[in-house]
Amino acid sequence: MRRAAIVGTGQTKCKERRDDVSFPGLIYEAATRALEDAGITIDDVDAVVFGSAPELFEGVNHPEQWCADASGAFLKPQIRIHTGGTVGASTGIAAFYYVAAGMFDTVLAVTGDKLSESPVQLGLSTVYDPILGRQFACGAPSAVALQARQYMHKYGVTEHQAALVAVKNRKNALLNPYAQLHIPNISVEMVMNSMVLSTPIKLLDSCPASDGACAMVIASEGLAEQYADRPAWIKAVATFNEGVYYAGRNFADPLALMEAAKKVYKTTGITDPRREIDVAELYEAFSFQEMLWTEAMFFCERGEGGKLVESGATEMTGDLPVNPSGGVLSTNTIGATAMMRQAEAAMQVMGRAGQHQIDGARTAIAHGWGGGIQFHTLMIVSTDKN
Amino acid sequence: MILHGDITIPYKWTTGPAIGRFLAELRDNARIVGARCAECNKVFVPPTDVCGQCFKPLDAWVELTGEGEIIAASAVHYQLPWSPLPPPYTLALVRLDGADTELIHLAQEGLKTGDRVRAKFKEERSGTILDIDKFVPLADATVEREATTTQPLKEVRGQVSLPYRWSYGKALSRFFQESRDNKRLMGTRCPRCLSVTVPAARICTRCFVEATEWVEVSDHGVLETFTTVHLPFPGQPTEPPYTYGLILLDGASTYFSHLIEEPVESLRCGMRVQAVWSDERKGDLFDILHFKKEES
Repeated sequence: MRRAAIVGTGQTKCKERRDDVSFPGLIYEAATRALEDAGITIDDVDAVVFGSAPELFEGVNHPEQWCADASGAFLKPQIRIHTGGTVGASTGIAAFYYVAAGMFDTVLAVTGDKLSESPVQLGLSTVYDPILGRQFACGAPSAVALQARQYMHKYGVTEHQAALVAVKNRKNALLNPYAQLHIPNISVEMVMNSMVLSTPIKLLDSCPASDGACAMVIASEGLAEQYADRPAWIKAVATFNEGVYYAGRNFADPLALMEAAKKVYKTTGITDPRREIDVAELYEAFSFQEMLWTEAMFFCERGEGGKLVESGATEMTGDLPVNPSGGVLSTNTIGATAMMRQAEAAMQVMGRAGQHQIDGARTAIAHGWGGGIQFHTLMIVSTDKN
Repeated sequence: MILHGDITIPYKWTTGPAIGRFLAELRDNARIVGARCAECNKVFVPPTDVCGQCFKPLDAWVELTGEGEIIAASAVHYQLPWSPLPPPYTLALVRLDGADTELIHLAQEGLKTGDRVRAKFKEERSGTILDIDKFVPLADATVEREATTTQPLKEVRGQVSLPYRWSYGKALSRFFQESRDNKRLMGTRCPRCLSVTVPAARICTRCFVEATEWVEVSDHGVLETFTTVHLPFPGQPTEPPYTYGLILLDGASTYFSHLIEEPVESLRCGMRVQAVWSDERKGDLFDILHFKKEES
């Protein structure tokens, strides 16, 4: 397997409604920024990987065809990836597979969604089985509410601890110009008093719905060093799945994420993730999830996710900053969201994260989540090629 | 068994600068405009935001006469719910004078490759591609119109609505027949891990083996988790607020998802609940109306 690295990233400004551009226009914005960041042109790109979430969000099937021009795929090999909420990460991982396998040397991966085009919870509700459960499922919030309640019941985490996550990430977002939500006066009281969406989840425990796109350029060893002075070497990736209602399931035990974490730590030789990883970008669409994901990724003991956030360890000044970008709680396009985690992790190790740069970040981990609470992806990037 | 249903979603599609201007020109000036790529000099009609070949944004506008040539034509003889006209009608690829791409549109019957045509506009126009009524032979008189300044259209509204017939499959068909006819909840036992999947399923998720042994489980069980939904959205099948949860029925190894009707304050993870059956059962999830606190 060849070594491969992220050598350029591009994000659009995300907004509740980008009425200035079409969906292909958004894709073009992210793609050109990634090429610019890598210092290359579309002529240097050997293949394009395109990703977006359910077509029902934009109501146009074959989004890879609709966006062929705008993603730079004209007369190039192009594939499309779709894996629910993890699609952004799977698209980056597919581009990595291409380069690592030696199929192509330089690959452009581009993802996005324009969630303002339709009622997003209506589209999301169509991911439920039509015979068993679509009748009263309420998009993503109600499913995650069931998870949050079970997590609170099993481990005793609290709504107040979840609110700490919501505040931390919204404060970080103030340092990220691309983030959608900028709430300067965010506080625990604001979160606790915000409108209830689906108990115990309140409005400010939840991500917004965004129009936005993200792209990355992934290049092989040899080229990567030419394109970037400090490439983000991809050290390990994992995409794991679990069933929806399998026997013995407990939503407080994200088995797929635990398996994914074991795999990427083994591949990279990480034995103490809390100490060896400098920064994490997690897919916390809802505040409770960040605590649960940090446990499942072995940053702390099971049930200690609430205490981890209380300790301040996951703040930008802590020993394990989580979501310095402001995370999914500040921006959620769905299609691009998991790629934004990878791009942000890469920006950290490349030293290109601007105001939300974590000093000295050398190893970063990016997580993706999606499906009926069962898809998980991980990617570890590092300044260290070997 | 089959469940009949549909997915209907309203949309507001952002046009972007190119199509926004194109549609506004159709509506306000009965005029067709294209966009030129500064790199390759090609003119795109309808305009797009990006020249795919040069990977550059298109930003130079070109006004066209609305006259051109038929590149290919086809008489359509079948009808779909969204067909623009009753069949037969003629669909054509039209290369407008000054354009480097073709426009797909309706054409007068009998037109063929190489014929010279012009766009005939409707009198009432609303900013859609059908503001052009159809392409007609050039010989027909042209109506001269004065152009005014137009504001690009920001969005186009529409809806996608598709009817479905979802097949239950063998296992769920039997599950719902039993629930409808006998008020019985059936599961399937995995021969390997011995777990019982409810509602019945052909495959054990964990073991990926066929579960062929049928077992009846109780309509009583434990409420594992629950939520009260307050968030409304267009097209929601159940009107909020309502409470639903995941129930581990006695004898089952998997969760059963259903509505819970009890005062919210009295609900706890781990409490005992029981099904309340409907008197009018049709073989679907609502053969059970909801779950309530177990009667002692």
